[in-house]
Amino acid sequence: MIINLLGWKSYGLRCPDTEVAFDSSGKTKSINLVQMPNGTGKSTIIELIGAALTGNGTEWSPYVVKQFSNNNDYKEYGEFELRLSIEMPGKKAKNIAFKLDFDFETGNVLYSTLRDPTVGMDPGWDPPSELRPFLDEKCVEVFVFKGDKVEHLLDKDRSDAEMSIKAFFGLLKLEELSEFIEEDFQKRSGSVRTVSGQTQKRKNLEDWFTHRRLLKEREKTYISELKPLYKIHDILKGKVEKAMAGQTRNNAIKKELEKALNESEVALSSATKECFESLRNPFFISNKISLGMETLHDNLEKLKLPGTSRVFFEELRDSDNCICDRPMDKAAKAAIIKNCEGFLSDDEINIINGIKRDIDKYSSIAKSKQKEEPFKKQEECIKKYNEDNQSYKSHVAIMENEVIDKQKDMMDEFKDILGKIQEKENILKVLQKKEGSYLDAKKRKPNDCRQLFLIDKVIEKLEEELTEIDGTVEELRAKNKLKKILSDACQLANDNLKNEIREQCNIKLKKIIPEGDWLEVKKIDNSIIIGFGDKEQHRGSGGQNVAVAYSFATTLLERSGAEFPLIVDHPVTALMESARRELGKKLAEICHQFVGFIIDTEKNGFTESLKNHTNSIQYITLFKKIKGNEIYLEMLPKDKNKVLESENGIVCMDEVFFEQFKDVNPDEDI
Amino acid sequence: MIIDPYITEAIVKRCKEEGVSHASKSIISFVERYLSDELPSNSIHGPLQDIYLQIKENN
Repeated sequence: MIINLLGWKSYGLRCPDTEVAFDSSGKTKSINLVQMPNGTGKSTIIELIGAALTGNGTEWSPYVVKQFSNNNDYKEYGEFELRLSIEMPGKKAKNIAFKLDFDFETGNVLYSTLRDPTVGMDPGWDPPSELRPFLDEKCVEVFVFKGDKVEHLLDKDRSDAEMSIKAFFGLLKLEELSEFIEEDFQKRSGSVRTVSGQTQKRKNLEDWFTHRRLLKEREKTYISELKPLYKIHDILKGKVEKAMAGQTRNNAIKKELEKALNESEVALSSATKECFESLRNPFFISNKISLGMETLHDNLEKLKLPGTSRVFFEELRDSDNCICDRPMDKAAKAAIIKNCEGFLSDDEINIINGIKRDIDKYSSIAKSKQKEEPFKKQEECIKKYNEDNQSYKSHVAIMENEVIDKQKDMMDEFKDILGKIQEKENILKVLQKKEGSYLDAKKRKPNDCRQLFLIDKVIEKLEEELTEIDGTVEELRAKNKLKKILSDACQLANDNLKNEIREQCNIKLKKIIPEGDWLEVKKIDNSIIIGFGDKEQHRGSGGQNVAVAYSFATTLLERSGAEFPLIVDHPVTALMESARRELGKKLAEICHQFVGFIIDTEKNGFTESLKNHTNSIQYITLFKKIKGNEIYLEMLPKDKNKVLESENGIVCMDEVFFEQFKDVNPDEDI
Repeated sequence: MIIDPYITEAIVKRCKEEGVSHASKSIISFVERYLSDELPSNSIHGPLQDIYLQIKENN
């Protein structure tokens, strides 16, 4: 059975209203690259593809449903439709579609399914029977790769790899069967006991059964309650991480604004100093002072100060002869001493000359245009300082609001969810614990035992004792034998499957990984254990991890007989350019349809290599019609058949546009 | 869903080890129907009685 993804349609959701068709040319291509700038809703679309395939949207809480609404252009309703084709051997391919109708007011999702285009959509999620077993959540996770799937498959603390195998080959369902067999037996035994009458032993067994049913119900409730909690946890985790990244960006902006404000402050201080310097010019104080200063200057000029200073006469007084050669007598000396007081000293002359020079200087400044410059400069500095100060204060206020309104609430909500998860997981841990003595448990009252494993053992023992009395012991033994056969067979099949998948994975890995970089899957436990030679290693390089994950997924798909498309979010983001080239060479060989959601920076090395090794490539670019994206509109091809436009989004199916496209705002993501 | 050959093989092996090889066909058919959603959990009683009978035959 070959399943192809034909496309999707979305309306009123976080991603743009668009219709993407992989079969626009009549046939789907092997490689389908969907380029979307950060913030366009890649993760949302991948989430919706998964939900359409599994039907698990009905389990979403109103909180989760409302996360899919378009915050920028809120609509009460949203739609997502996924189209697929199913090709059975020897039969004509048939198209089917799953549609999700979102009601954001009530937080509900309703499904409808198109199985026969002549009949139209039927209500509910109702895949064809041949497809249904593969649309379990764990199966879909194998071929719809979310961002962290690669890490999860290799994470020793998770059991994603084993759960995928169990889901794909029916082992999970087979494990459930034992439970139904037990329930059926209990129902029947109960009716036998009623006929036989109630002895103390029977009453005791009935109490254990009742307690088991209660704990089983509790286990089921906790498991089902944990599912939406995990979902909310993932959403909040993403938001917290984004908010923290946003805060980092905010801090960087704050730092820049702070720097600009400091520079403005320094500039203002310097300009103010210059202004005060200028204000020392008396010509700036008032016109009256200016006029007085000019009069003083003129008067000093008119004074015609003596060219000789007092020092000359003091030196003359101490000489024997006057400069006219007459001898200096006492009377002449006394007259000189008396009269030289009227002459100015050198310092006094310097001061007067200084005053004259300064009056000249400051007067000319006052008369020129220069006089306004310091004040203009200061005015500009004040303006700039005020602007910078305002920007800084506004940004700090925004950051504070974000912390108060968003992060704090978000963090509180996140902690609350973590607490709830922890609480339920702890209870489940106790319920599912598989150790202890059933003999001790048997001596106690049923309500004192909280481990299902021990309760089962006690019931088994009590049943044995009772069936010997009422003559149904043979049936009990047959039931236990059947359960044991199925449980052992399940384990054995699981081991064999893991071994075969490991071998197939390694054959694929040899094709994908270049010789010098070789590593292999050593074994598959709960997770995939990789290594080389005798050594195991926790994880490989980005390229190696991706190669292991793709090999594992495609092996599972091939082995199951259901070839699904490989749908991957950020397929090569963790890969070096050389690893991208290697992957590009082999990608078309390892799966029949590859749908990769990429950002522009993932193209380097990858698209070129793909192009060199296959002609079957569909190039799609999807972006929002928002401010800042106008540049893309100008780049769109003239052939309008290659462009699909909606109210808020554009889908372009042109190769050149795809290649030239560059994200202008790479920081944001949804 | 076609029952995986490893599951069939494992059931046959375990039935043999438990001395109930004659019941393996019925068990495989029962598992196959259950995995293909042809046998809801509330309709398993009849087929189970048949299997119990076959297992009891051996005992």
